[in-house]
Amino acid sequence: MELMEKLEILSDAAKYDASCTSSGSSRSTPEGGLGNCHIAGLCHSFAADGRCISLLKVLMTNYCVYDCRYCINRRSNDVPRAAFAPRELADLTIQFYRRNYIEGLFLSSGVMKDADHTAERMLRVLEILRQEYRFGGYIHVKAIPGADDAIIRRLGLLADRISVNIEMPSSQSLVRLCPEKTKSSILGPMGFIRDGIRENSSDIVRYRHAPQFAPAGQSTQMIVGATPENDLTILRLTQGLYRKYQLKRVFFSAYVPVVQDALLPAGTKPPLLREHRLYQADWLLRFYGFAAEELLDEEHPSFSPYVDPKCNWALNHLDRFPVEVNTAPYETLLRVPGIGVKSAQRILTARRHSRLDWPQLRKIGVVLKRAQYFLLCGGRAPEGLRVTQDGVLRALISQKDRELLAAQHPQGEQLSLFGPTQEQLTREDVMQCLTGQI
Amino acid sequence: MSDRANLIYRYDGSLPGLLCCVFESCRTGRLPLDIWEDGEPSTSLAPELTIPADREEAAQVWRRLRQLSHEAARWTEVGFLSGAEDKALALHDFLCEAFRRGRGIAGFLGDPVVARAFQLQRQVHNEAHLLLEFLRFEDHQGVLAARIEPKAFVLPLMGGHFAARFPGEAFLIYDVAHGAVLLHQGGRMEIRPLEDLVLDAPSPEEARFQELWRRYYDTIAIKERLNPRCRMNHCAKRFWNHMLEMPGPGAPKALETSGPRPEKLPPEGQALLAGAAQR
Ligand code: SF4
Repeated sequence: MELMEKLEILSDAAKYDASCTSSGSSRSTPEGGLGNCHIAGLCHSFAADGRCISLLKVLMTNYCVYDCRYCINRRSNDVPRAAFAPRELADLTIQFYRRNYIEGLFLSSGVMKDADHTAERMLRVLEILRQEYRFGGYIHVKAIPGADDAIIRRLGLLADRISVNIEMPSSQSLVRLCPEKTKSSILGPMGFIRDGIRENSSDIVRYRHAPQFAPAGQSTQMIVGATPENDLTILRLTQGLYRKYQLKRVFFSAYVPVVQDALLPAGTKPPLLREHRLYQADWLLRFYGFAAEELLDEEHPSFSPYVDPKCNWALNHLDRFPVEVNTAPYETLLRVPGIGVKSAQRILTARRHSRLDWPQLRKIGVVLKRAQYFLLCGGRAPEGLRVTQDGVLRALISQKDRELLAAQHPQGEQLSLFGPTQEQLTREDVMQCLTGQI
Repeated sequence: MSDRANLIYRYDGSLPGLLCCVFESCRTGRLPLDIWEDGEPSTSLAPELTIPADREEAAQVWRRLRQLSHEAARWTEVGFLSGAEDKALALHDFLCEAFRRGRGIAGFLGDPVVARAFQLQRQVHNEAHLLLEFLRFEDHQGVLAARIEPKAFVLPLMGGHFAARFPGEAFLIYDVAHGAVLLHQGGRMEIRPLEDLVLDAPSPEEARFQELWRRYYDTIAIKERLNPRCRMNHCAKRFWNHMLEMPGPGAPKALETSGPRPEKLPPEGQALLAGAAQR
């Protein structure tokens, strides 16, 4: 088969994987070779769906002996099949890399023959790249569940990141949709990889300059919207994965109905807003000191479609606001809607020099559109802040939220939650009203 | 230094030249209305003063600046690459301010003069960074060639990245907008002025890799999630001309130029490539 055709088939089959970052690793160019890694990663292009293209994201093969119901490559699905020869793929990676198209390779695969056979072919690609070409660019490889630990170990020693997809947000769904996979076949390698990464910090590895095991860490991904789990279940699972397996990232992939199956929702649009909310919450878990249980609970197991999870949390905890910019501890500032890590740090630096007032806060680059409702500067609210229902809503619902909402309600459904009245309200009124309604 | 004098400086357009303008202002204690490059047409009735570039003076200003703040010196160097019209005056004012305030100048972001200098260098850095990502090389008999069209003169900020990444490659990056080319080969790198660079049509092999890349690009987008606005936010249209995978009128190949194509490279370009090819 022509390379062109293979590339089309095997990138088409890989495109639903959400993770395509090249971050977390810094490698210098090997002696006599080419390629290095930047810790922050680079995005070489942006696809028509707006997603960053950083890596050549392909499957080794889309032949598969499994029959996972949601997967386009399932054994029983009638699609054209192809497989790269290891050298062919390694050469293509190098040629793309030289031309500055990509930062490296993201290699996943269907299971051809069996897990070991598949993983060995992938290993071969990595060996050609790292050993023959002396390639120092980024490599993200998927561990094939069921493959021998020894092969996974060798993959991890050549790759920057290695990941196992957890696929479904609960083991019931996994059993239902991936009858041949089990929770332990996924969590087993995840634990094995975690232990491999831990060894990086052991003395032997550090002092002997031994190769590092997956220096950019481990990630996973799950499909959202194909199965009935609610946001709370998904977020708890995510939190558990971070804590137990020390994952670097959990990716969420809005389910795109690619195959017809009685067990799957039919003909729906991918739940992009939900995916977006999960990423926002994931951010709060990783960088803002939130726990899953603070953001959602049994009574409110789903994210608000209108405001982001942090805003929602704040609206539910108005007793803690407003906070004083000049004295609030860092952790508290981080919980103010509209204040991110950068802004909070800037506030900390700036208030060491002088007491902050509203104009100064603006000057150091803190965006006040949302934050102004939750902050005091020297005991005062911003001058002339008019608190109207519409105004607050407009401030709290971001442009992106609005677009995502509109996309899911194409009938031009009302986005405004209230009638046309625009009376002057007190801050408390609005907050209560918002919390009540949302 | 307070009000501006009714005076316009003329300088030679170089960084040392600008430093001499700063020297002059510090010496006389007055700020000019504006600073123009030699040859720029006059648009004001104010008297002009030509400030000759004096190496000694420039070196002195630079030394003092670096003693004061390495950051301010770096901002000046990078900001000077900007294509912004107010660049010369903005950096001149910033340096005068730096000498007035002393150490820690880079921390006074609340001061509009400092803020402007900060902004200038940040814009330059951002553009350079984006081009490190969006630039596309084309293989011409083993020499990698790319064409960029930046607002700022970012070549000096780009070479190091590619030299570190491709130590064994001969490559050139041609800046169409500023008429300059960066050459790298065998660990040596230089930037030279160059009027025009016309390359042969890509070889069949090169054309095939471009086609593969385009095919990959078109395939990887999820049709159910198309979002042209998001794409444009991340990758502004002005870069698309030189990105072969991007849609466009007839999707021009990365380096193809419009108009009649000379049979061969002009002598200057040929020499460049020949030199680069003999590794
Ligand atoms: S094992 Fe992977 S490729 Fe094969 S059907 Fe399941 S999800 Fe798809």
